[in-house]
Amino acid sequence: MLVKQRNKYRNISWNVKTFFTLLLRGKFDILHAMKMENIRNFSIIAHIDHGKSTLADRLLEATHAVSPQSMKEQVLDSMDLERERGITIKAHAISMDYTADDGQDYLLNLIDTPGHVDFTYEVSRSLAACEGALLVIDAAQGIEAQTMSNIYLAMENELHIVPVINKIDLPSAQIETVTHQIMDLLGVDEHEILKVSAKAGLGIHETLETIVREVPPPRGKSDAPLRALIFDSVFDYYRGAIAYVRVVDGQLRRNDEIRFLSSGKTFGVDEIGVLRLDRRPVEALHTGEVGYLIAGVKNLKDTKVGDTVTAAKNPAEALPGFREPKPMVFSGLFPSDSDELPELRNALERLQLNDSALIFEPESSVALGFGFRVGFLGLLHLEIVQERLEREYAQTLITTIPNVEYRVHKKDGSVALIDNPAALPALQQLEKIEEPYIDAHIVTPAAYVGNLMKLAQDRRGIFRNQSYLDPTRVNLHYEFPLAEIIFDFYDKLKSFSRGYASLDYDLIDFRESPLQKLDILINGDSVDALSMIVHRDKAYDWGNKLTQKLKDLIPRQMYEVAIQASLGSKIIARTNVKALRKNVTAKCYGGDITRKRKLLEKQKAGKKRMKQVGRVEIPQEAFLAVLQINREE
Amino acid sequence: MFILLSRLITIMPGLYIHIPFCVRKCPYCDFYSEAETEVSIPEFLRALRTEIELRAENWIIPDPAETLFFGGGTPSLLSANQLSIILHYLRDSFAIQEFPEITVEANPGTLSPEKLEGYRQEGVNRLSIGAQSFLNAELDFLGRIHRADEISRSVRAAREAGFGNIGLDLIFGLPDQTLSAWRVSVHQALELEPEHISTYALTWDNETPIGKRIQSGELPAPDESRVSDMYLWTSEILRSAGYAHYEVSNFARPGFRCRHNEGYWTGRPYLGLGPSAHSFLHEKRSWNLRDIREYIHQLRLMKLPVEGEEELSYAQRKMERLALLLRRSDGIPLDELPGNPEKLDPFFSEGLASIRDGRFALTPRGFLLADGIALRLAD
Repeated sequence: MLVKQRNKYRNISWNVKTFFTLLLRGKFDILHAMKMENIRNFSIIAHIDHGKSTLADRLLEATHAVSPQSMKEQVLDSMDLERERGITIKAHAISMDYTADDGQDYLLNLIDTPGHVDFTYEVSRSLAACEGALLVIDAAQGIEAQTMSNIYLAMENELHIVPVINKIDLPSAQIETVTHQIMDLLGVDEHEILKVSAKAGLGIHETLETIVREVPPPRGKSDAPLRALIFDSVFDYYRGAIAYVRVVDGQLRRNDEIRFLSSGKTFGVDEIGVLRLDRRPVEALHTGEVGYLIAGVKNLKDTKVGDTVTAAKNPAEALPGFREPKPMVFSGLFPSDSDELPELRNALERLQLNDSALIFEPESSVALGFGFRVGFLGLLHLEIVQERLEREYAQTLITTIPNVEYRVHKKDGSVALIDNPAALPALQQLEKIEEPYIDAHIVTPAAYVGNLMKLAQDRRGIFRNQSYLDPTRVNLHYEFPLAEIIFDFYDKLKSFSRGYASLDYDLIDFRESPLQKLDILINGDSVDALSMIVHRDKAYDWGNKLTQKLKDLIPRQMYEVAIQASLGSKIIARTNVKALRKNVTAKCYGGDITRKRKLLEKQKAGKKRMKQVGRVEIPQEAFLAVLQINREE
Repeated sequence: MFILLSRLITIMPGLYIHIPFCVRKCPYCDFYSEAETEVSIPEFLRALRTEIELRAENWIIPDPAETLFFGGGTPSLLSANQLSIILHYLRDSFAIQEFPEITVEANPGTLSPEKLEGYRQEGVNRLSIGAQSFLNAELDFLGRIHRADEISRSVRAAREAGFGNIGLDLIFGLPDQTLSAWRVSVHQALELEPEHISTYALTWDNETPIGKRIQSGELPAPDESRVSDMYLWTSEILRSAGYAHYEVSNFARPGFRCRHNEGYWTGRPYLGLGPSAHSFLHEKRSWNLRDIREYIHQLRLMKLPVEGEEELSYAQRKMERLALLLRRSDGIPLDELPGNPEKLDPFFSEGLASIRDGRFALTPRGFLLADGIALRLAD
């Protein structure tokens, strides 16, 4: 990533202006010490596609942090996958120099935030490193659920919010409506709302001026013991873990002995610096400043987002808000060819270097052999990891049905967290099962409220309240079992609202539910990788749908294949795949032998994508049959 | 080990001669032939002679040929004289055993008593007659040039000419064909008391006109279950009539298996001559150009008319041998089966295979799934 950015930097055309800009910046970086009053740390928060990245690009251009020629669109999103999905997955930061209309020089540190519900915690830590946030709202779309949740996060972190209406040049822009939404929501005056078109470059200067004027400078004690907040970290194969930090109190100097408070581990600082398009080493980072820290940390897990960096000799108290990354969704990943287990482990380990939220442990399944139980922040995170494993590491995977983590109380009084349905204790031993609940906000045009309430009810939603953001937009507040929304809730939400509704959620607690393990039996043998935990009221429906879906997915074999769904010892659904009667080349003489062999080789390659369970061959996609059922409904 | 075995047991090579001419192309057939071509049979024979001579120079045929097979196309378009010329070329260039099996594939619409006598005099001792069906409506559908009654006439004429080894080919599994329609053809065939009967299920996943019409939905696809029933019924009726079901699609009275075709399934070497003919020599498969003009052109330049070849890897040879041997009722020696013997159990319990004389062999029901079973065993 950084290498890419460095290359971009090299491509900058060396006109005179750039030369002076660089010279000037060089001077800053050497002397670098900027008065705290002239530093502004801010984020841009927005719903997906509301124009966050484009606005960031314009700010960087306007402050000559990058030149337009050198810039691949949207500098901050540098991973291919991010580009394709149009979302910023991992946060980065960049510093800009700005001479304001008041004649003073300012250092503006833009701290980027990931833009998806799966990454709420990461967003909150990025925001904690700032004093202000640009709240970007699409003039045509208005406020959405993610906008709301970002506002709440910003408020929790006591940020000064600068509302920005973007895309004002769109023909469909509803500037007035959106202005009123914002005024109602934030209690601001109309004149406090910036009107911008990042794409057309309108309002960029005003935005920079507003940041300087409105966002408060950092408040920290420069003479207190060091406290720096890690708001992001990346792994570099040559340098180890690189932490992005915001110095809250005190100073961070090269050669300091530091301690990460969550683990208590100490390291010697090899290098600190500020973040331009590349990393620029400096001697010290002062109170309120943003930069990076390299300390020979070999494991990304030692530089946890939200952790506090302090002096080893004179440790301070931890900054508030730190949380261990907590996976919410679990799935089994198995190599489709069992010989490739070491490669899969290796690929997961490498991914983990740059993704501390990813956790995995070995899992063995009767049906699928050896693989890994992998924990993800959410379904998007799962999809990204799966895609990266297949694309970047050429792994062919079998992914099992994702599930949440359950808190299982046994009759003997013990309590265990279970992230794998196959590991659920037998019915007789069970006292109760608790499942995670979330607090969800759905923002939707009023016209779709009925649809969405039906959807919510179907997903065991508990209605809390609804409020009107303006006469046409409603914020529905619900509580849901997390299990009900991890698969396809988001897709459904979109299709029930013609794409207008948006969702944001937070984990709240575990609650007891009448949950049962639904097993799938193929020719009488239970296939552990197809087990799932379902609500009692839905078990029959699931059993039926799942067996039907499997019937469609499992090709005919030489013998009849019975597919059954069971709850405990009770069969609740059954169907079968009729036996294949004929699979033979009628004529097989001289010339046909090569053709026949090629045919067999082709069939054999097809079989590689099958998993042999007992006597039955099951195609890989069958293990995700549940997801397909949901999508077809 | 396998190479060694194949060398010890199957040494006698076969010669195949492809005659690429037909009166009319049948819409279900995907063998190479030309119905309307300016190339004359004599012109083709000259090129064939060159190929035979070049092959004799370039290739070392391991041992004297034991079987000769004239396939096509329609080899029975050759006059007895033309057949005699080819046999001369072959005897001039290759070592041939004293009493070889010499088969000619024949279309009932092209046979006359004189021609049959001529063939017999040239040493042809096996006639494979493409009867296909005894119902004229089916023969029309199949685009055949002959009528049902010509089949029995041909067989009688062949008997009179002295043929003691006659095979009849039949096709079943036509779209909408009923079991009773198929029974008619099988019973009529039995009445002619041939030594050999081949019954082929119509293959339609190919580029033939009928194949395309079925794939496009213009014709209904033959019902798999009905075709399977026909197959099993055929096996039963022919076995009770004294024919051994010795290969997926082949039945023979004792002592009348087609030795040439057995060579294909047992890994015996063979040399194929003529356009599109395939060869298997020295563990290498090769195939000739599938175009008579190209074929003649190459030979005028004194080049072998080979279009491609492949050397089989050990795994490929093993896979091939397994798949081919399983097609025969003789099956495969148990010690040649790869992997865990436990994985054979389901085949026995489902009645798809049995063990006889230390060999794993498929039952007729198993034959229907031979490809799938071969794949399963090859894992």
